[in-house]
Amino acid sequence: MRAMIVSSALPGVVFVLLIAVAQPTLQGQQITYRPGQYPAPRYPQALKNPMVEDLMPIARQIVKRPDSGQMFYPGYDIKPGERVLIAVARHFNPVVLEAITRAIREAGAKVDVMMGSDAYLPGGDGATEWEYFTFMKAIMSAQAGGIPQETIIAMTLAGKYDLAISGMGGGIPPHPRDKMRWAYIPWDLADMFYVHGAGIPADLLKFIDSKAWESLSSAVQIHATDPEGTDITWSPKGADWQVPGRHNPGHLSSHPGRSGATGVLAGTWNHVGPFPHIRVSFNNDRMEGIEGGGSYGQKWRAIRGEWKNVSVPTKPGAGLFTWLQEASVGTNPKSLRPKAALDIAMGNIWERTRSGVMHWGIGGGHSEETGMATTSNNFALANPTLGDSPLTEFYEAHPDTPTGHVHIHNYFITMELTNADGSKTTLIHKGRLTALDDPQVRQEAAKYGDPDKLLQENWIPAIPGINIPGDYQKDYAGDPAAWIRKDLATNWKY
Amino acid sequence: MVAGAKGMFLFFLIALAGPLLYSQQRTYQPGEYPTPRYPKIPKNPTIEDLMPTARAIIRRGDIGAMFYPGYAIKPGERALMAVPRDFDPLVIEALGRAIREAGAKLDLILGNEPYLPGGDGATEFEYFTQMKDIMAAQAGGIEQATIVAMTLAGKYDIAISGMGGGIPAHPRDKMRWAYMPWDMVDQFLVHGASIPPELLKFIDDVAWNTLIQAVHIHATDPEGTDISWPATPEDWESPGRHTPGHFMSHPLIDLQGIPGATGVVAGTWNHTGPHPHIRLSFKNDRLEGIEGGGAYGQKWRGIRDQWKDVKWSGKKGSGLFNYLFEASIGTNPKSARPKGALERAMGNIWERTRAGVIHWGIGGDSKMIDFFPSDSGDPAVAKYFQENPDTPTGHVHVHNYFLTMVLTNADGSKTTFVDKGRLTALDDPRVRQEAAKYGDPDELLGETWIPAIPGINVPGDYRKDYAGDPAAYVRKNLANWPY
Repeated sequence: MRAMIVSSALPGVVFVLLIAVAQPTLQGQQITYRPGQYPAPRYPQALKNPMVEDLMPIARQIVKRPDSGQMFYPGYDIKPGERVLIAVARHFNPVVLEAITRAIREAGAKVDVMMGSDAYLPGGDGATEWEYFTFMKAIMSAQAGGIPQETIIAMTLAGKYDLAISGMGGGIPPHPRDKMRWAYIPWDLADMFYVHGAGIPADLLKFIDSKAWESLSSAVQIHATDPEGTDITWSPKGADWQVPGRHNPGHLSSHPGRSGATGVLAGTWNHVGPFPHIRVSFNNDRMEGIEGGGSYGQKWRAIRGEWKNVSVPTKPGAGLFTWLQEASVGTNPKSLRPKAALDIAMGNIWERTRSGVMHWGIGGGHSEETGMATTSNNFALANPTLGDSPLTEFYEAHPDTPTGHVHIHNYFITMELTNADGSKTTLIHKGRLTALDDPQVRQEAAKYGDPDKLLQENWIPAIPGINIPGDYQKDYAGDPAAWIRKDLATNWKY
Repeated sequence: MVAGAKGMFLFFLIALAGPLLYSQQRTYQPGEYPTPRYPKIPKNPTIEDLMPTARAIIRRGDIGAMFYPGYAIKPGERALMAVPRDFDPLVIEALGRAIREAGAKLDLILGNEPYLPGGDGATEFEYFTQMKDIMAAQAGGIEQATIVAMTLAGKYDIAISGMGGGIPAHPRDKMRWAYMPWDMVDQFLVHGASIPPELLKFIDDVAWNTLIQAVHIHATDPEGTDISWPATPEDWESPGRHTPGHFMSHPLIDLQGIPGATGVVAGTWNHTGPHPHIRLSFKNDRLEGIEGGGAYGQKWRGIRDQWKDVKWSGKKGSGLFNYLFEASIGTNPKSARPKGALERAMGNIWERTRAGVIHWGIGGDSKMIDFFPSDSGDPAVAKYFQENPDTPTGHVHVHNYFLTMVLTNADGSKTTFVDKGRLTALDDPRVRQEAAKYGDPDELLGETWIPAIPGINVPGDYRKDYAGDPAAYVRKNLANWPY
C-alpha cells in the first residue's frame, strides 16, 4: 500500500520539480551580461521644451514632401489654395499641431483642425492591447478622439476639403481618391516629431528600405533569434513576397504568407506598453502555447479559449489570436520609443519602425492561398470591418467577433536569411539592420551628410542582462515597466 | 463790403458751431450719471471657475436671448463646435467638459483663420459690409453653409458656432444650431450665466410690454444723441422686433404716411471698436449728414458717395448706409464690454446687450434686408444682389451708454423707458419681486459694468480727454479694471 503511494506520488513530485526548474526558462531567457555583446543603450537627443520655431523646419519638410508610403513618415504635398482638414484626439501635442498648421498656412493653404471628444487612451500597460487591438475599428477612431474614419471622410467631402489628415496607422480607409487625399498625422508627442519626423531625408530612407527589401525578399527560409528568448524559423513562398502590402516601406513583412513558422517568440513589450515576459510557441504558424506574460498572457489565454472554434473566411484555421501573421521589420534608424511611451496608448508603436526592431503579430493568420487573394484590399487585413470582401461580410454578420491582432516586440534580433541558392544573409545583426552598413547605402547617405550620423540609430533600449549590467530575470523580465520608469528618470536627458 | 461782412459773420458762426457739431460741450456734475462699474472676476481664472457657468449653459434650453445661448444637451448626443483658432481655450475646455459630463460628446473644429483684430471702429466698414464674410470669420473662415453640411455629414445632433447675425438655414428635423459667442474668458464668466434665464426672460417681457405701448419715442444721450421717431401698434407686431435681449425700438417697416426718425445720433463706439466722436443727422430716417468720426466717418462718407445711386425695386430711396433701421436696446444687466474689447474685432458687440445700452444701425433700407439680401425673402432684393454681387451689404453702428428714452403712449402719457442708461424695467416692483426668488434683487439687477466717460460720469473734459481719441482714454482706464 505504502509502496503504491510512493510510486504514485513520485512522478507528481518529479513533475513539480521539473516545472520549478523549467519556470525561469519559461519566464525568460537566462542570459548573462557580457560587455559589448549587444549594442550599448542610446537615448534620443531632443530639446526639453521645444518651441514652435524649433519644430518649423521639420513641419515645413512634411508639408512640402509627397508621401513616400513610409510608415510614420507621411508627406502632405500641400499646394497653394488647398483646404485641409486635420482630425486628431484632443490630447494631441499642441506645439506639434501648431507647427504643422503654421507650415500648411505658410504654403498658401488653409487648415481647419477638428479635435475629437474623447481623451486618448491611457498607456503603460501592455495588457490593454487586448482592449485596444481586438476591435480595430475602435482604435482607429480613438486616433481622432472617437470620430470614426468614415465620419471624417464624410465631413471632408461635405466640407469640400482637398486633404484629410488623421490617424497614426492601421490602414488608410477607403475614400474617393478623385475627390480627396488622406494622410496620417502620427506625432501626438513632441519627441516623436522632433526626433523622427524628418531626421533622415525621404530619398535616403527609401534607398535603405529598398536595399533591405531586396535582401529579404530573396529568402526561402528565415531564422530569427533574440536574447529575450525568441527562436523561430519559417519558410516564405516566393510568390508571397509579391503580394501587395508585403513591401510596406518602413515596415517590411518578413512573414508574407503561410510560411510554417515553428519555434518560440518571447518578449516584454507590445504596441501598447510593457508586460511581464511572455513566451509563445508555434508549430506551422499555429500558436501552441502561451507561458507567462502576466495579465497580458492571462487575457490572451482566455480570449483564445473563448474563440477557439471560430472559423473566419480566408483564415488558415479555427481560432482567433492563434496564428502568426506578421513578422515585420523597421527600417528607419531615426525612429524611437518616445519618452512618454508609458503614458499614452500606442506611444510604443513608434519603436517598431526603428531599423532592426521587429514586431510579431498574432491574429487570424494568413490565407492558405497566396497572400490576400481572397480579400479585396490590403486595408481589410488591419481592419476587416471596412472594405469589400468575404471578411467584411463575416464581420458584418458577426459584429461581436474580435478583430485585429496582438504583438510582441524584439530589439536585439538576429535574422538569418537562407537564399534560394543556399547562401546565407544576415538581415539583422543583434538589432542592427545590416542594410545600414551596405556600401551603396553609405554612398547614398554621403549625398546628404555624414553617413555615420545619418545611419546611426537614435535610440537603443537598455535591458539589464542584455546590453547593460544586471539580471534580466530579476531586474527586468518580471516587471519591465518599473525598470523603465527608473531608467527614464535617470538617463533620459529631456 | 456788406457782403464781405456777412461772410465774416457766417465764418464766425461756423467757427463757434464747430465744436458743438463735433461733440457735445459737457461739464461733469457728480452724481448726474451713474458712476463707473467694472466686472469682478478672478484675475487668472481656472477651468474650475468656469465650470458652473459651463454646466448652466449646456443644461439650459435656448430662450432666444442674444448672447445667452442654451444648448439643452441630452445624454448620448453628439455636438460639433466650430470656432476660430484663437478663441479662449479655457472656455472651450469648460464647455467640452460640461458636455461630456452630461453624457454627450463634443468634437471641435478650429477654423483656419484667427479672429479679426479689433480696437479700431473704422474697421467696421471692412467687417460689416459683407456680412457673409463676418459670419464665416466667427468660425475661423468656415462658411456657415459648410458647417451645416459637415454637421449633417457627421450626423451630429447640434452645431455650436457663431456669435450672432442670424442662424443659418438648416434642416431642423435633423440638427439644432446654437451660438458660441464667448471668445474671451471674461465674457463667459461675467455674462454667461450670472443671471437665471427665467429672470432674464421676465425682465425682457416687462420691458417689451412697456416699449410696445409707445406711439412716439424720444432718445437723448450726453454724447450728443437727440432723435425722435414714431411707432404704430401694427409695427410692434412685425417679425424680428422682439428679439429677446435686443429690442428693435425703431420700426422695421415703412410707416406709411408717417415721418421717420429725425434728429441726431452721436457717439464714439461701434460694434468693432472706438472712433473719434461722430455725429449723424437724420431726417425721416434718411441720413443727411456725417460729421467727424475720424477714419470711420471718412470711410462712411466715401462709401456713401460711391453707392449713392444704388436702388432696387422696393428700396426706400437710393444709396447705402444711409437709412436708420435699427435702434436696439439691451436688457441684460450682467452684460459687459469685455476687458479685451480693444484687442479683438466684435469684442465690443457684447456691451450692446447690457440693459439700457442702445446701438443704432444704419444700412441700406429701413427694413432688415441687409444681413443676407439673398435670404431676405424679397425676390427683387435677391435679384439685385445676384446681379450686383460686389454691392456692400450689412449696416454700421453707433453705441450710446447713458441714454434717456422717453415713450409717449397712445393716451398721451409719458414713460421713461431708459433713464441715463438704466433700463427702468429693472426697478419695476414685479421684476424685483421675481428677482427675489433667485437672490438679492439689488445684486441681481445691478449692472455689472458701466463705462467711465470723462465729462459725463467721471471728472474731465469730454472733448479734450475723450471724444477725439476714445481708444487712448479707454486703454489708460484699463488699469482700473480689477482683473
